[in-house]
Amino acid sequence: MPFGYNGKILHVDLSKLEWQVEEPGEKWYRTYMGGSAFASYYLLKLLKPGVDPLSPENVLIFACSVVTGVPISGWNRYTVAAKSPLTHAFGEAEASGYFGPELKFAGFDAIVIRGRAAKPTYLFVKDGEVQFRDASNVWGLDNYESMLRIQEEVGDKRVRVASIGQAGERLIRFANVSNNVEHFNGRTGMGAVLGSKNLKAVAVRGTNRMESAEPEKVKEIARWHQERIKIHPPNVGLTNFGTPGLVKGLNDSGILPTRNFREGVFEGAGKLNADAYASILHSSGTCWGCTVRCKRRVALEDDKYPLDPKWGGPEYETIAAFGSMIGNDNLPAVARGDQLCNLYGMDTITMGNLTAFVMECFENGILTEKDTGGRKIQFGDPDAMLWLIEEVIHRRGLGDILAEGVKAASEKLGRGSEQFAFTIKGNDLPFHDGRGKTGMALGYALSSTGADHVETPHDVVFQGDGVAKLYTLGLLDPVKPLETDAAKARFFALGQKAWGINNLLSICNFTSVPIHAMTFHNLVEAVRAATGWDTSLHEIMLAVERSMVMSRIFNLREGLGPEDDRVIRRWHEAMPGGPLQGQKIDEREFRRAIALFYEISGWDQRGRPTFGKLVELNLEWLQAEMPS
Amino acid sequence: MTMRVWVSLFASLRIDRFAEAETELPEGATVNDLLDKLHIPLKDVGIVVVNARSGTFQQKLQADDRITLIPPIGGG
Repeated sequence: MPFGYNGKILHVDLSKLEWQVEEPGEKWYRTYMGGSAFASYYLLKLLKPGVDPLSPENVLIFACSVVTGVPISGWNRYTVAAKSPLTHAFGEAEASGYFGPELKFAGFDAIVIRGRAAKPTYLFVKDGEVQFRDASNVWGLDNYESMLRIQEEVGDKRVRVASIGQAGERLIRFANVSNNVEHFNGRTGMGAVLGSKNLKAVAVRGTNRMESAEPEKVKEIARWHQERIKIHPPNVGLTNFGTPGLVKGLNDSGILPTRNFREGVFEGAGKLNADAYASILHSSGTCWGCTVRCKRRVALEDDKYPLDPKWGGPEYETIAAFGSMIGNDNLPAVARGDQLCNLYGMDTITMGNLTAFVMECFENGILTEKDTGGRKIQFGDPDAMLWLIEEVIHRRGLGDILAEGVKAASEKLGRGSEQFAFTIKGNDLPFHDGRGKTGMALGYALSSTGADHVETPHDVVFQGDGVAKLYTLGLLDPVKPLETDAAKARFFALGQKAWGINNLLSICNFTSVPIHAMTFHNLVEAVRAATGWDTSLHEIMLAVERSMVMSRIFNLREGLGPEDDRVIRRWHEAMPGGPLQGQKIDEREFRRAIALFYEISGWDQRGRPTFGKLVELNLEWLQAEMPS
Repeated sequence: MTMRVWVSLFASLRIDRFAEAETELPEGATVNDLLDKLHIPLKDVGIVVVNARSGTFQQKLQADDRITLIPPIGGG
């Protein structure tokens, strides 16, 4: 009997309505460990290159890690992965909440889903058993109503539901997966993959807690971690203010993306920050077993922007998406946009990018009222954003084109709109301006999921003596956030593998290293105590690298290359104002840093891992998958 | 009795303040006391480093300590 995990992977075929259990053995678990690596493994094994992401051939994975559900703050995440309908490349999104641990308690470490159900269906997984249930009474409902209906149908309110709203059903390419309408596998359109499979939801219920090899040791580290979270400054900020607390810092530092990444300072930021948030704050919430309590719920009795605490509250990313990015300083309208997206199941990062894209196209006469049936779409107008959300969810007119995402929409619209469409590998950008964080810009360029802020260390926090947090990795020199030099490539190559531990072990960034809520030492000790493995930071970081190389090869197989490892045009142009006025990322220097990263990583100059690297990582089997 | 400490500020915390400076604090003062002296609200600080180690707001400072303060602008 393994410790920390079940040793069981559930395989589901929706076309045949059959399920079976795979028990891959300890060596496999120790090689891949969880989350992103489980996902890459099955996508490489089961998916052929070139498959339409919305066809039954796509493979959909819900993956926890070997330590998900071990009672330590933040050890509660899970990954949803598939070939992305938004980027046509490796798709993956993490969420916290309660679903991941419950899946583990129900007896499985991951679910691998193939095929397409003949009619709307949801899976109900309970204590090792699986039911395919008719979803005809749930299809068409939003995420909140879906959760209630499914809990009612299976007769258990403690069932955790990962569902899609109408956006996933309608194959909107940036549809997300929701659990409890507060936690979202947001990026890369995983909700559309569920929709394409006629899979409305996965509901789980488990009564068997995970057993640790050394439960007393786990308790001891968990208690230490809780005490640390109470006093560790980043956690104190998250507990007191949640992620809205980031608005002020980013704006004051000149890196708050404003009006479609044109500027880095928003004049209305004071109406969107943590102080302003207090006017709509209802309560704070948390995820399974976590003492940080960074989640926020909002409420407002208002005819125009009513807010219901059951439908979540905007995080930093959404505040930037529907705030500074579209030049809007009306926070209740931001929160209303957030709640609509939560109910419909749409990623707010992409929806904010889409809105800003349309606004800038309007400003330049590329789109006009003729395209919108008379509706003006201008920066600063929050009602235009709410109107666009409805047009997209109903796939009306321009909304039907926008439902394909920024990149595809701009290609379809043409007329020069491409110059205002900002994506990396087809993924819309989260809201951190790379001109002020060049290490993060490298992360955006190199992540297999495209622009992705949870795949990269944010170098601003490693300035000066802040770099002390990375001494354990052998990184002894401070980072200069505005440089793109060799030191930055070194910092990034090591920092990214440290940050990647979170996605590998399905741990929340806000409770982990390298923000130092956890120390590297105690993280490793906790994994040892949970699994009973005589493991090390070295072994865990090797598994992270394995995961990154696997998703890289998945993308190479799909035809991506070094030309896709880039950032957006605007970041190579001078910042027009604010503290970083004149700052830009030099394009040649950036290319050199990317080339250096390939070299450090054991990749050739076409960005392909060498055979030697595959051998080092026990991934020789992937040599056959490498395109010539 | 007072003691001297060294302070480095980063990113937006430098606005209307300084990049690096030494300052005097009463003996036994904490990081919180330093923030009060510099008029830096608690919510504007994301990372505290004292002598190249992760620090806390409640931490008592010693003479000649080096304190680095960084705003919360990572992640999200």
